[in-house]
Amino acid sequence: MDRGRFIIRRLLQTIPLLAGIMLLVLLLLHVVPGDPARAIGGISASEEQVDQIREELGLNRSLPVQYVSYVGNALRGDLGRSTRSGRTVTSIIADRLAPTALLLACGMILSIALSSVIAVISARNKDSALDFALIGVTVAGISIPTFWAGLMLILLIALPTGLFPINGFGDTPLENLHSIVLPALTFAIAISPVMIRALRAKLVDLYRQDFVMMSRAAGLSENAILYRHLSRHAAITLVTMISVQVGPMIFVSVVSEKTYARPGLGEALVNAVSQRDFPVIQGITLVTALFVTAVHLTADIVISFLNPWMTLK
Amino acid sequence: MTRILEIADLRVDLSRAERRVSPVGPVDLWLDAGECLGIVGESGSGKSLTLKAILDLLPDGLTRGTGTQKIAQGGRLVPTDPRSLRGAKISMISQEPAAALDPLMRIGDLIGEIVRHHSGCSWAEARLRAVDLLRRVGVPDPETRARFWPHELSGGLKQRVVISMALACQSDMLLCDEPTTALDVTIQAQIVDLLRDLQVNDGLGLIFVTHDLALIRQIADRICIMYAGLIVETGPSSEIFSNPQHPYTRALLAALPDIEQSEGRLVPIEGTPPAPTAFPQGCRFGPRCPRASDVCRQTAPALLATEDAQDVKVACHHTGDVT
Repeated sequence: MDRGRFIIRRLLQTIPLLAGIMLLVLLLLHVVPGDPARAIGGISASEEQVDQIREELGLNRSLPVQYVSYVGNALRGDLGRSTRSGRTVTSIIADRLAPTALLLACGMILSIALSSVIAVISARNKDSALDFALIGVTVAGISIPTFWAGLMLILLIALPTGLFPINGFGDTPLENLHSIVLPALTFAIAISPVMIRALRAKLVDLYRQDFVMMSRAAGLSENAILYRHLSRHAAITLVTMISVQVGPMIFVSVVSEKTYARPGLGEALVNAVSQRDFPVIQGITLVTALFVTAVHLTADIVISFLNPWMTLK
Repeated sequence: MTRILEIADLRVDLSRAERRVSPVGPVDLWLDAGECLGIVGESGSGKSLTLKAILDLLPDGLTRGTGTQKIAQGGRLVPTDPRSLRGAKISMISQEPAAALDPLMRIGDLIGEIVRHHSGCSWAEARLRAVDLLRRVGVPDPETRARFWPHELSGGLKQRVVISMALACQSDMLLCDEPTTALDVTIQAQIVDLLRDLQVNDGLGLIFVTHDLALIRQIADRICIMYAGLIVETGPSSEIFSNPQHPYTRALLAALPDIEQSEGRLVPIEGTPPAPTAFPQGCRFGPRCPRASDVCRQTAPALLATEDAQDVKVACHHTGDVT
């Protein structure tokens, strides 16, 4: 079938993409000005120590050899060891994955719900005072820096009410969920506005389409038109927006983790950068790139199910 | 003939104008069971808006002004809210079949959805009914086609699907908004035959809007000629074509190419139709009319029955004058 072939082709396309990503991740080490081993060791390290670091990282081998061994190790789940703590990068990532995954998942769900509701209200009441008010709120959301939104939530909600923890991740699943409320809200404040704008524009355009008028002429109710017809079109826009926004989402989750001191990947990345812990930086960058690739791939596949002519080309 | 629809003083207004601007109306219309009423006019004459106003389906920026609408119910004409008629008493087909079908739904589901909405039956039953309807409108191999997406059908088949969706409502009247304009000539003829067949055999009342005079001559029993938002002449199709009274109708017919007569040139109508914001005082056709006199420039003519044919009405101060 057409769709099967489309999905297979799309999966095959990710192979060279991943190879390219790994090359870039490896080159991260080499684009640092000067000697990467010296950069890692710092100015106080002796010549022997720097040589040892170079040896450990395999930096004395040729680039193609390094690349092959990096890819080979990565495929076996070996991303090297932290130059600071000596722990394996894989175990650091495994430890840090849950808070970040939960933040991304909850943040995305909240953003989708929020954008859908606001965009539908806005589009159905196009050009009314309510529509303008919602547009105003949306523009404000786009303009606010994420860290500031996070701080304001702490200052205006968490501290006065004491309802939500302002840092950490918690130990039980319930505590995990409790701790996610404000970070996810921060995430949604940063991510939803662009989605709302795109969805509202799409819905306004859809309401002008002939097939909507014809559905009305056939007696279908506004809700039936919205849920059975427009929702499919809007879903395509939403999925597209998610895949377009995945970069900003990662950025926002890093900022959000830092603001709420959550022990996630973003926080680990920021720490690794300040300590020049290259294997950890590379590992987290690779995981992030895999996530972005996976989101794009999933988005394309989901849209191919929603949109019957996408697989034609 | 039983009257099934009677509309009086129908008007379409601009929603956000400082003073009242009415691109259409006031217009009176009626339709008998199993009859085909043709509304003819050039682009911008308000014929399409009139049709949409009947179901209150006007685009953004336009509102249905006045207009009482009576619908036959149990043998009597009862005033009815236009929105409650949608699909129930009156259904509609449009100019652009490609745009009238939701591209993200299979056509069987599109039809089935409407069947279900009006009969409350199960999905399985609605699918069977959808296949029946596709067969009724002459779609070949309807079982297979019901599983097609709209983009997999040709323009003619799409229009048949749109008609089958209108039939799924089981209403007594079908509003046709230039249903053949987007189709090529052979397909046009097929669609007109289908509509004619539905009118004659199923007793469906048609209101057919078009700018195509040759087409309307084939299908309509009665005709309304619209100019600048008003009906300028109305009567039986044969009367209008054999003995046009209004100068605009005459000019329209004179502008029509005649296959019998290869000699001579077509006669265009000088000037352009006025915009709704700049309708002239008096007769709206006045500025383009060869017979306009002072009275035409001052008072708008009423739509009145002519002396020689009682069922023909003309809005012209000079009706009956020697040409």
